[in-house]
Amino acid sequence: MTGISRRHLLQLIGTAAGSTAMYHAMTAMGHAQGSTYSGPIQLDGDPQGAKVLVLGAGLAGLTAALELRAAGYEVEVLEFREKAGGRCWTLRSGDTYTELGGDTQTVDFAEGNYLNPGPWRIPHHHHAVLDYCRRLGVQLEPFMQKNYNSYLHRSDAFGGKPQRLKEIATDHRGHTSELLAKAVDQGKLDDMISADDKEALLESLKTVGVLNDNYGYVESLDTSYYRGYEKGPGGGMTAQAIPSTPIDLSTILDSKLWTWLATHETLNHQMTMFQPVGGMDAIAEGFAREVGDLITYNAKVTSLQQDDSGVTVTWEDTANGGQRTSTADWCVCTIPFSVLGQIEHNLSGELSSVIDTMFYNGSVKWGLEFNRRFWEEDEHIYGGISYTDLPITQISYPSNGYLSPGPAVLLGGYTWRGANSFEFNAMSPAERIEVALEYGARIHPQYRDEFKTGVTVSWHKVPWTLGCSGIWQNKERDYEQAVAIDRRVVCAGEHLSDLPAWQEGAILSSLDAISRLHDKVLNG
Amino acid sequence: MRQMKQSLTTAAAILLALPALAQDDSGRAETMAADRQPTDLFADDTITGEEGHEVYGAVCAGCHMPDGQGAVGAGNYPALAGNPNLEFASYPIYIIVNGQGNMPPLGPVMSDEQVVAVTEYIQTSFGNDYEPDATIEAVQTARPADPDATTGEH
Repeated sequence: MTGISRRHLLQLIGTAAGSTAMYHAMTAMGHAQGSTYSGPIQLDGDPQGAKVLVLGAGLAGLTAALELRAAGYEVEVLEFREKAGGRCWTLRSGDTYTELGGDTQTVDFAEGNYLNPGPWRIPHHHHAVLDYCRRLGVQLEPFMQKNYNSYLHRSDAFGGKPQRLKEIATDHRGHTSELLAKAVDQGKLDDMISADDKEALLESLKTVGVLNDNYGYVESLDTSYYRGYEKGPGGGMTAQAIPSTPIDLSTILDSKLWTWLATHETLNHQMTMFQPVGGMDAIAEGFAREVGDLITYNAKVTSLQQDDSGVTVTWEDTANGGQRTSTADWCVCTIPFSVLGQIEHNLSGELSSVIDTMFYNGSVKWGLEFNRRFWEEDEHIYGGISYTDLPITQISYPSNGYLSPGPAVLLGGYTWRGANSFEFNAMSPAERIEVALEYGARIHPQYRDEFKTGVTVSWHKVPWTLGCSGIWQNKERDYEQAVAIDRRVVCAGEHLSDLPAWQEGAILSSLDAISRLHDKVLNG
Repeated sequence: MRQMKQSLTTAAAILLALPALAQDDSGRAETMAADRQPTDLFADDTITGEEGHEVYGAVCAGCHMPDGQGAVGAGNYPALAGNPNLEFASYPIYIIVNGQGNMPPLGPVMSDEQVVAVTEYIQTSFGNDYEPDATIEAVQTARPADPDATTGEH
């Protein structure tokens, strides 16, 4: 597109033809699905040297710092940690991590191996994250969400033996297609479907379900072409494939392995997904290259006060000791409410009540390093995720370094809220790792022989967030007053978005907050 | 289901038998493990310990710490040792069930009996010497009409 920016064109279309035309134009440009991000923010107009204090150097704070400085503001960033990124975080060889309670883990992974304790995969429609990766030169690679050769596992199904996703998925689809096709063919659904649709439906079920001419889902080379063979096709004298036997419907249903068949299909988990090469914190480092000079690290905010003339923040210098004060005209506060609620502030009663009632989610992750890629070498699993009803809930195989020799790290578990997260949180790291090994060995017996080292992060024990993501008591009621500018302070972060716990939510929240703040600075 | 419970119990028993863990963190893990019965770990959606110290060790100790001293980071987890808010059970019961500030509600993963047991445990542990006065009725009163729903992973 030349001579006119896409954003400007969309504005013209929107103005001239109303929102429906705008929507269709956006769809045509591929931007209307998923995230609402529609290209780099434009903060036009001169803020005349106004200063903004940004609290927190996670993705929301980093976004605010980058864009506000570009718009002509003086920007100062205070960050509790010793580096940028917040929950956009990677643990790799040589790192040490001390959780609340004092347990310190030193990561002993081989060079290049890592764990992303927080965000670890980026949906293809999280346009803002992807655009910042593009602008910041962050190299991405595919994250393998769905692998048909990964496992589905329940302790009480198939004698505890893990099953391949491709078999369960193909058989479930085949059997349900057969049932529906036969019911339609026998006229049992005639009051629900027209004659024309009936014919088309039967044809679609045959195609999608891999049914034979009698609408049967049966053992054949056709169905094995999807679910896998007893003996695969080869060459020469032994070329002939031998079909496999589908698992019967009753067994499939009874196994409950269908629980996970739609897991990969949500908008936020559909392939293509991405991960930054070398670890998620490549995004944080990309931002830090741009705005690192604005950030004061090791700054623990203890007070946030505002009045008619400005904002005053008191903070403790945890590296060198002593109490400091920073002042500004405005403040973008990205401190998680789990922490902000414990900081002295004079925010409005409405905002305070939201801050004080937002509890935080627990989540636990493990990075387990093994001496060799047994999941690839022995089981032909290249990336992807196996799901289980065990408390670890899943095992995710690395989406990089395929076929390479030497140690590799897999995600040994990932819990999300619930009783298990609480119980893992109450364990020491050594206990947590031991339990993850014990459970993981039920799916991969090689675990015990090949285990090298591990690291685990429980988000309730992460000192700078005290939790993983914010949970609203009553979002519908409280949302507007929580995102509103409170005199000179506006809050931003994943907790103030409709994409909670996603990096996209943090960035969109920040962009929206600084747009409104900028408008207020210019126009009052 | 029975098969699963058995296998979970086995896992926990193996865990408890590990000598390496007993040396972790100056004996803290040993204390926790010794306090915990195998069946306390990983019931489906709820905590299965019955005794107050079991429930405390399986859940509360994660943030308030095994010794009840709490923890300090960018924000704090309050100490329960010497905490005057524990004098009357109705206050901690309400908070355990419904959460407070960044603390999630634990009502959904605990039975009335477990809330009573753990409340009385924190009223009488870590040097606290309050009269344990938790009741099932107080827990039922504290429970919200609309229990917490869970959301999907990220």
